Amino acid sequence: VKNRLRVLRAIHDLTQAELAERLQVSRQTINALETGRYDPSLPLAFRLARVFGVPVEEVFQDDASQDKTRLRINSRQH
Amino acid sequence: MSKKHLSQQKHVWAGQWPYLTATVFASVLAVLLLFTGPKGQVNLPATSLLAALPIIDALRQLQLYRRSDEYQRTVLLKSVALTALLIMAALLIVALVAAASVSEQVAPLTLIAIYLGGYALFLLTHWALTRQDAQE
Repeated sequence: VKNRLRVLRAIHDLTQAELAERLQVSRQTINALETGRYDPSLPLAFRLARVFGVPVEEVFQDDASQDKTRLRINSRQH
Repeated sequence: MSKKHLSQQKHVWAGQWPYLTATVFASVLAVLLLFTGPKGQVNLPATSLLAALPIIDALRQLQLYRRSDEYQRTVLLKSVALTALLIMAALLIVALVAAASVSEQVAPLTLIAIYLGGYALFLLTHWALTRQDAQE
């Protein structure tokens, strides 16, 4: 699962520590999420989306669904 | 780092001090009893205290696990899994070596060394994984 956490955090001008504090998790957790080493649980994913005020799909994208979208775009272009 | 973030980190470590104090106290007392106790026979009080150390630490780990967030738990479990794997492998090797020699016995110090080595490995792995996250 890929995520846009770093981008969304930059848009909202939050440091990793500030985001961690809002979510009541450690900064290590935010770092592990951003670097893609860890996929969060559903409750944490929803809490993240709520902090940024976006649907959860805007924060996390499934690799498979991304591939499908890419294939669809490619087939339309050809 | 904000004060609130520090307090979150403190929350994780806050419950550790009673266990760490008990560990240090039991260790020092056990060593003292070993040196001052009777020689040439089993020193029951010292042995009991030494046997209590892993139990105290298991309780500390349990506390740490309960207070950690979901990612910190996976780090803790990874360290435990690696340590358990290597201790089991080491014990198997020692058992096979002991079984191969007809009259030799495995020195108790070997088993103690495996336990202490395994525990050191656990602490090192956990520290390394946590430090890696903190630095990136």
